[in-house]
Amino acid sequence: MSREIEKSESAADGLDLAKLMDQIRQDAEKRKRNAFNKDAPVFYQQLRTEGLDSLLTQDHSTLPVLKLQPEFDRREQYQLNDLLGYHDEAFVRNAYQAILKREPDDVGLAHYLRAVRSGRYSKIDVLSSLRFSPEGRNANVTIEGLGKLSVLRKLYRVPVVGYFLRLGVAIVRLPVLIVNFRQLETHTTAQLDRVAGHVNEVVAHLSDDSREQAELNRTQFESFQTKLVDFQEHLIELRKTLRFQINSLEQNHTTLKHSQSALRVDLFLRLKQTREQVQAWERQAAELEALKVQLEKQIEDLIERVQKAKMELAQRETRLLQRLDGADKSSDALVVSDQAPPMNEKDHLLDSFYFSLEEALRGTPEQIKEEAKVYLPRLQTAGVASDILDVGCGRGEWLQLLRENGFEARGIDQNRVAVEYCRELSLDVKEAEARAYLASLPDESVSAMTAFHFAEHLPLEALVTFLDEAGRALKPGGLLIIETPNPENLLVGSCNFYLDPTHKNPIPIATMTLLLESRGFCCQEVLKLHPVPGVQIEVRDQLTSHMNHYLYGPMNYAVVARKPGSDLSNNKQ
Amino acid sequence: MTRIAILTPTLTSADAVSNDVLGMRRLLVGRGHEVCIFADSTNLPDEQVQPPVATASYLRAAEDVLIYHHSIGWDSGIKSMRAVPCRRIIKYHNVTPPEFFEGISEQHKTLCQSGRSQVKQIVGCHPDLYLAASAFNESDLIRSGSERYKTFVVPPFNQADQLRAATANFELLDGHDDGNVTLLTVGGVRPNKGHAALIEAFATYCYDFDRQARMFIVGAEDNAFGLYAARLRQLIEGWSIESRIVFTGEVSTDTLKSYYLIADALLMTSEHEGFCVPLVEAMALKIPIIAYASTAIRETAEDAALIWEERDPFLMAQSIDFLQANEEARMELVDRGSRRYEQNFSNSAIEKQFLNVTAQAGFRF
Repeated sequence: MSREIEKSESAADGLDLAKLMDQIRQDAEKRKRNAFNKDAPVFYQQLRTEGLDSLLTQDHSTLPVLKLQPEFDRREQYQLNDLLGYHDEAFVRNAYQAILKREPDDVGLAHYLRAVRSGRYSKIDVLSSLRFSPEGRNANVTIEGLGKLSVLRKLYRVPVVGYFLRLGVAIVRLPVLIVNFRQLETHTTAQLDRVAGHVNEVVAHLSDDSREQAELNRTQFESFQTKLVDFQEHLIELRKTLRFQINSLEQNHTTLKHSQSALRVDLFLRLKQTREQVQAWERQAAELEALKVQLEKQIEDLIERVQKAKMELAQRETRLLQRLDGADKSSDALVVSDQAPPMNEKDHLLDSFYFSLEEALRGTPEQIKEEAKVYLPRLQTAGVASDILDVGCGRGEWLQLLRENGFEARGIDQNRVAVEYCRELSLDVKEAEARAYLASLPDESVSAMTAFHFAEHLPLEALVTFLDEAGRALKPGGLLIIETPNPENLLVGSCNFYLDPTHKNPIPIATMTLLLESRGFCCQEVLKLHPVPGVQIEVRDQLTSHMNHYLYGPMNYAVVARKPGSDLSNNKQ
Repeated sequence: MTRIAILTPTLTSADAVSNDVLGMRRLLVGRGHEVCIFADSTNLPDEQVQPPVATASYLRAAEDVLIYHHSIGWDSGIKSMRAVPCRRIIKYHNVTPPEFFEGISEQHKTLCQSGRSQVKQIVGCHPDLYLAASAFNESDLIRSGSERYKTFVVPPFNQADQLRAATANFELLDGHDDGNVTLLTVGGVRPNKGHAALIEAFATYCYDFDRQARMFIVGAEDNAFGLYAARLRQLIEGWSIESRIVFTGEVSTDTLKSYYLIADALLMTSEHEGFCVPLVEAMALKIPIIAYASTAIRETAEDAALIWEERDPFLMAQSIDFLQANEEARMELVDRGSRRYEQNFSNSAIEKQFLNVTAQAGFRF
């Protein structure tokens, strides 16, 4: 298994990376050594070499330091003079360091300084006070000579006697005090000389610094001057190169300009050609579209004519067969009066039962009227307003709906109870057998014919005869609407269809449309109606979708068919 | 069709691990598999993730696959990974060493510590395959005990293709068309990214070569690393180059492309990278790269960049100047980068590597 990421083909590039990086490294080193020290700003140099902190805490220790008092050396044992050699604050601090072995606190320091400076305390008093304090006793530092003098200083404070004692000692020590005073005078002069010497030394040091700085500036200036000359030379070189490059660029520019203008001409010509081509295509497309519309119209006309011929043929075929059968039903005999064709009385024995059966199975009149509303717009679109015949009108719900919506319609049914029921509703309904009644109608006298839940009551031959008679009686362009149970719904096909014992066979949608077209009708639309209300499985896949369709799908369907010929609305105009 | 769960702590924008997760899903869904991402959270408006605890109910069959992306301590992720009965693939992006977060973010330090120790726990679960984002990560995994024969390098899916296809922000481009040298670094402002060295190198270039140079630091600033960012800003003030450096924060793809196009070079001084996606983006967009070698940086860029072992600001500065002055070398370098990108790091190249490695380990993707 390949784990290695493929390497770039560096060898083919001709770029020697190692060599190139060596060059960069050398240049960087050079810059570190030279350019950086001389050219970079002082701040930057120091920052580079010592870091930012060094700038913030610069050390000026190169200047000489003046010290007028000797360094204090901390020990366990002192001679009195070791401590008396210091003065003022240095004396108090060193006394603390020597006797209490610590720095004086602020209060102590202030107290003793005040006492010494006012003359109230001598140095012996300060040392005694510290040495014989509880803290001093604890530290127990030996100061040779302090004990006697301390006792003497205490005696000085005894009233009267103390005064005379101080006077006596002063007289005795007068020569010593004079010597001390002279020593002090000499010492002060010597210290002043030292201060003057120090000041001179500092001044001399500062002068040296200035000279060094001037020297540095001069070096930098010279370096800068050299670089300026280099830079000027570089500029001259650069100018030459630039001039050369500008010339070359100008040439390129001219070439490009020519190419650009040639390209522009070419582009213009191509654009023009393309535009013309597009226009030609657009023209062709428009012509083709017109041709397509024309062809579609011709195909529609052809279908129409074929269906018309088919219908005429079917009707002639039926009549011929009737004649061949020797029946005495000539076309003249089929023309009957408004009276219903004679029926056998025993045919009406079960009229009452069928009427109640319909009431039980079909639903309430209001429901049926509501469901039938779907056909109203189809009649309007086809230009039908009158001459509507409802075959098998039953309780007349559809006729009522038509009347309520301004249509003129009549119905026939062979059930006397139903006919009586309709007449009570003042509907124009006759008792008649459908085929015989249709045969009695003149040619092309009905605008629309409806047959709801009628076809499934007829045997096939009777249905064919019914369709042929309907085709003859309808005006060209007239509508035939047939509604019947839908056997695609398995419950309807296997069970509910047979609840009505007068039903013959369920008719699948494909059979119905084929039958209509074979008899010359044009099938306009198939409406799948009345799915089982309120019961649907949630659709998750193809199976659940099929289950819904076959178990809970439309229980009825209707085919809207048209007799070939011009629309009724055109006829009116 | 295989059912696949991808586990990652979070799914966020401008994040290398998230881009790898999304690229993997794109590939697997395109090949007809059912893929679901499990994470604690996401800030991507078009993405929905499932909580890690739901992994066990999602993956029930032995032939299902779990892909676990490891980059930081994630207890619930490890727990979910252990709970499934199916085949498991580990994508290892490396974990930042916790020392980087010392004194800056205790929370990140703890997360990285647990992330490091969880590598051994992961190995203890005996996954079927380990995918390391780089050879550096691969050796890390093997050191932690992964079986060598199960451990392979597959670079992370990235957004360089989208970056190449994006339309740049022209307002930004025009606003910087002044001929000044522009340097760029891309990546979150995090303590492992070595920004101090970057600033030092840039200051050296400014003071020694070009005071008009500028630098963009492109990447999200996390509040958790506020102290780190504040120190960087102090450092920049110390160098007096605050007018020359811009922290852009997180930017859109279009804006990121513009910064790449403006840049004369990408500087990479990061101290810890498991792969380093910005190098890939720079190679895809033909931007020269100057970097300090550390962790996976050298193996990702290889000879398509100037990479220095010593962290010396003078080398960086001199390199920038060299590329400015040597157009030919610069062009050859970016050509190498572009070829390297096409061959190894474009999403189609990574898809091939991913499918090849997983197929040989017995996965039918």
